Amino acid sequence: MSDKHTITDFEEFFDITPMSIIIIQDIHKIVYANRTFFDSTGYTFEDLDDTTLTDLIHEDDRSIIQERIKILESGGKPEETMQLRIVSKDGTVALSRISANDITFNDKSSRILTGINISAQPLIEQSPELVSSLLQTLTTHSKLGFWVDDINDHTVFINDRMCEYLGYPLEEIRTRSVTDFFHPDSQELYYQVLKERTEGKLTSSSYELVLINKEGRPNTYRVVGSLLYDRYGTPIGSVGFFTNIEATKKLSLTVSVLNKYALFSRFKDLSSFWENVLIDLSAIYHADGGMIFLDGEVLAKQGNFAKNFNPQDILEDIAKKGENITHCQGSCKHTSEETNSAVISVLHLNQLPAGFIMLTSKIENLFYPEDLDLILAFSSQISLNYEHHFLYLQSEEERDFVSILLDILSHDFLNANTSVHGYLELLNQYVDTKDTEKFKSYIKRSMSVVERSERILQTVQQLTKIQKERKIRKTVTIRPILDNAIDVQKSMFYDKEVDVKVTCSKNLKIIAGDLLQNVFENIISNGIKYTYDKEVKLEIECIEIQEEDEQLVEIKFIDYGMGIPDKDKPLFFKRLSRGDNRFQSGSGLGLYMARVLINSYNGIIRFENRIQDDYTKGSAVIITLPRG
Amino acid sequence: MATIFIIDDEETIQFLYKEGLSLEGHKIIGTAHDGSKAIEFITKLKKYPDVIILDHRMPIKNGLDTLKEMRQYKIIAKTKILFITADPTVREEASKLGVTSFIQKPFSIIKLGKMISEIVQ
Repeated sequence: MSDKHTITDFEEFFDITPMSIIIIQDIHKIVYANRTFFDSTGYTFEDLDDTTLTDLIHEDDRSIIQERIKILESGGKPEETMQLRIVSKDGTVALSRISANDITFNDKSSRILTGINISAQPLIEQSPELVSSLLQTLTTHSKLGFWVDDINDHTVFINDRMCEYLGYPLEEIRTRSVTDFFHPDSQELYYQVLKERTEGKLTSSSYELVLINKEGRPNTYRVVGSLLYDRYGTPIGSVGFFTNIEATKKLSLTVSVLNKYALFSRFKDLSSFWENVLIDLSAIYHADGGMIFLDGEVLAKQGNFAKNFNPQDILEDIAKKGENITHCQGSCKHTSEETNSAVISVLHLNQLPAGFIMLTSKIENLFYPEDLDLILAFSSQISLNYEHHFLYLQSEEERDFVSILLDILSHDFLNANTSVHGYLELLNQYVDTKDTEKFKSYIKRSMSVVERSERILQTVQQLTKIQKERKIRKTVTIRPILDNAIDVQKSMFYDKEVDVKVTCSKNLKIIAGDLLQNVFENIISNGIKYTYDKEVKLEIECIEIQEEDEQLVEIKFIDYGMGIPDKDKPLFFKRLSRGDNRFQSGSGLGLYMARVLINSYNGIIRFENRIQDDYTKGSAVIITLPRG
Repeated sequence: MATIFIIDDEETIQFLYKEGLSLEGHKIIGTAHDGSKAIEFITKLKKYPDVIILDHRMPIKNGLDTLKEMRQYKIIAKTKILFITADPTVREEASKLGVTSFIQKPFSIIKLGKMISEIVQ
């Protein structure tokens, strides 16, 4: 109990309880009694001047008190509960079950006695133990933590369970408020609940609080709390019953997070997969840092790590020992100066150690033994989920490739065949006319179609190749590739006058791959095709840009064609299916393939209007790739 | 002799139509790379063409989508559509939209010219 209290403070507070409460000092002198006591015994405050506890007890029971005094004087600890007959002012006797606890009151060591008149109620007459056990359950021996604060957040009562939860002996904790132990995240919630209660919106409620124990470990509690009022209806304090749900909550959240990451459809993009995993795990285990390392790459990172921290070495070290999980408490400086606890759980791919999930904290002894079991189970399952997820995406990509190959074979080749067959038919028709101009024209076009068929065939070969090799990147010079693509496409459009203005340094290099020319051709072809004028104007610019630590090159293809409405722009780069009207014939590679290739070169491709806010004036296709 | 409008995104195929169909005496009154441009052109004509050759596989707007838009302008009712597709599902859809003549690639340009003559007779 707080030293700062006066009797008046307690009078209001204790008056609401159905229990009689008296406080005694110097072993037996009564210094305080509550309203219930006065009402049930008929005494007044003045009657208690110079009165001892013994004076109020039936003479046959005084020996019990004498016995207790002896035990106390000899430094022993008497029973906390006892049954005594209390003599009222009018001489009547009531049997009471009384509990005694140590408190500090008005700077003096005191005993608080709480009593219930067990002779007054039929239930109690039948089973006096029931009330006693109820009281004990609620307070001292309850499985619930029990905490009573006054209106100013001063502690009035804490039970043993609450002390056990927080890891402090009663003596250390009794002068402090429950709010002293709040995790910063819980402060706001608690004061919100308190505000709503005081405003009368919420008299009692159930909510979750995170309290920090003596070791600095955060623990989550389910709290059922309510306000306490005086007889005038004024709030005078609050009472809370605390249940530690830390382990249950971690288990439940871990299962929930695993379930979340088992749903492939939610994570089409693997790039944010591990970052999300780390964020979720850190929140569950109250970690303030962490890392996910897999297949030689750091996929997610939170907090600072030591300069010489090498995740590959860590993995090899753990794998050598044949461990699946390891943790350090108090001596984790190899990860970072600030780290006092860390847990590292190995991730397996194809049943081999391939990486790890690491959670770190400034708090010493953050992780409980059962946390390690849960984190290990999580790591095993998430790596399986990842493997499935990865295979699923891979098979989707492969399906796309097959679909594109079929498109090329069934559409582009048929078109080419139709053209060549048709021109041969025409030559046959004109063979007797000796119209050499027609002959030349048909042969030239047939040749062009045959050449295109060869390129389509090459593309098919390349497409099958890039399933395996599209991630292989190398440094290439842009300009020759660009010039070749322009020449090829110009030759494809006989009846158009194509003027391409190129502004691109001759030695500018990027990191890309062999199929870059196909991408360029596709974009140039679209620019020509969708400019309906006979005269086609295209501009191609290469711009070097610096973005954070990265040096990039933007290759901008500007046309003066029909343009693309904003709503359709994203559709052009999406996955295609057979018969999709977005499939770009001609070069054999659609814009979808262009995106797949550019992405595999670690680049991005996007559409813009040539003139902002007016798509009808032409488009700009912008490719951004790392500078070589 | 028929007046013909060609909707096909391939330049070499368009040229083939022009040359091949003229042998049969047909007149190509216009060409377009995609459905939108074609409809824009056709709706401005005083008289609709006798035949429209429409390829299904085109970027931006495919053959079926073009047909749907053509219905709004009652083009299908006033002209014969020769729909180019090998896909039975697409054929079925196109039939529902009023198309009665289908061809699939590869085809003989000479035979196509004759087929058009029969259609317009």
